[in-house]
Amino acid sequence: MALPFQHLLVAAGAFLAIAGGQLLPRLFPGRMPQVPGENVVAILLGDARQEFSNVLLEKADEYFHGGAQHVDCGHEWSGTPGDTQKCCSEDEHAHEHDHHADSGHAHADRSLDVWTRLNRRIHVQEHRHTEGEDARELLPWLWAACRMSPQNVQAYENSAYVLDRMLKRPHDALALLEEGVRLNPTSAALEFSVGELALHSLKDSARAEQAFAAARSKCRPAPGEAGENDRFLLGRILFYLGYLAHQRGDHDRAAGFWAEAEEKVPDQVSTRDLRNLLDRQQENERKKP
Amino acid sequence: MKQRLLQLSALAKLSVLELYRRKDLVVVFLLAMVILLPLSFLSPFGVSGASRYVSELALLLIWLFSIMIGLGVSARLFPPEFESRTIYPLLAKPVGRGTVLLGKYLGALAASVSALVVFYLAYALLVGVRQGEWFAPILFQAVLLHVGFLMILTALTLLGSLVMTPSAALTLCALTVIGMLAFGQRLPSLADAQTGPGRWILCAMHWLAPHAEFFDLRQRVVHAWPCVEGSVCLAVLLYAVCYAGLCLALAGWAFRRKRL
Repeated sequence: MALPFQHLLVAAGAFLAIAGGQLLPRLFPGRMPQVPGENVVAILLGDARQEFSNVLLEKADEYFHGGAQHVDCGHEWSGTPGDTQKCCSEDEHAHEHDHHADSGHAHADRSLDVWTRLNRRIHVQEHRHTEGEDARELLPWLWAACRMSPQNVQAYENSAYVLDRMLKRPHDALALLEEGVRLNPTSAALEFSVGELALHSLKDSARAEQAFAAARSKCRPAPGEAGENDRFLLGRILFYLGYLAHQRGDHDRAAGFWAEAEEKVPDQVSTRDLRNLLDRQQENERKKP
Repeated sequence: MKQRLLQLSALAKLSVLELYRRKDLVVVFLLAMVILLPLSFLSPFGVSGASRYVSELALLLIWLFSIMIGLGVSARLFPPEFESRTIYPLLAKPVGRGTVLLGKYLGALAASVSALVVFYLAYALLVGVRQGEWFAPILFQAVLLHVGFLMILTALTLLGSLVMTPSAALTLCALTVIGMLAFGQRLPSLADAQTGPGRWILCAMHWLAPHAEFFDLRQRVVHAWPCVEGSVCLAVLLYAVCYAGLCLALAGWAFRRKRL
């Protein structure tokens, strides 16, 4: 007698669960915790996605350094401030670095702690940099970082850097950055990366100028220390806008960007570089008969 | 002596048969394939040719599964015998408690190592097919040190199963080895960052807990670094023998004092 009753209860419970699942979104449209169309990762992990994404970026960094963790060697594999600007500026210089003089290594080998000494002999302490086609080994982690959190701007920037600079696939990098811009419409950094890529790799000044202009409109530095990074970015954006205006002979517009840079970021290297560029142009004009 | 060796081999054979009878190996092997096969066809951003991530994930699974199998096999050596009282007919035979303990330990180790060899053969096949590199010397060294790790793991779990309940032994041993694998290298720096009792606890862990990370050559295998020096490899294996020996000696003492 009890078994059919239990079956009935289970069937009723299943029916109620299914009916509830179908009814709830209709009863409370727009007030459900999940946004329609969100993927499973987004629903399951929520804001933790950003942390996972950063871990995956760290993994990619580890791969760049040949498996060595937390390397602080000064050789960045992502788009570093000032690095991409060097072709337009005067401050190009070679960077020397001794990979075998990692801090603390020699000291630890002299210590009495036998376990630590053994560990240092087993696990590789030095690092090497991934170059050329080997850079494709970084891509699975970068891809996973982008997919894990589409709001991770750094993941898009680093992936585009690897595709463009290390693997010489600028069109793939541009497509990725454009996807990043679409998913992060307020990010000035991604627009700036599109501009740099269009200018340096695709030699498309018009596309670059369009992207830098978009970046300029999106870049609104907060006052004080909180806006330091954005102010730095703004300085670089204004440098490129001035440089591109200068290149096509629009010197007044270039001077306007320099004036804006002098006003907003007077102490920045990019402002000094832009001034040098404009001074040289004035000198050349004076020398002309 | 010959009689003792025969007794040891008979006891060891039982543990190996037990592993294969329970089909643990088949389950974890299939699970690894289900995880790795779809991943190996990934071409991120439309670029194919990356292979180290598959190696890394495969080695991670090998480590996880070898820990699971090692723990499972060695934690079940004695408690079921005590529960079902089959230990009495075993000890009624002309065989010493030390021989029973050593035979069962060797059986657990043999079972774990046999599973490990299967895993590494599958890994070598995967790497060979994907990267065209068959049986690199570093891989042999990685297997050798992994066996050293299993020597410690099985001895430690065997000791745990004799002084604790099976579930407590499993949990504590799993936490210890996984914790040491993850943080073993950083224990001194973590201890330096602490003050008071936390520092002393971390220092004690650094000196006493089994340094599972000594046996982990994944970084060298995945990123194709050269082999570890022979003397260092020998030192690590000696560490494994000594640590496992100490655990077995303590287990023997606990087994002899155990009231059955």
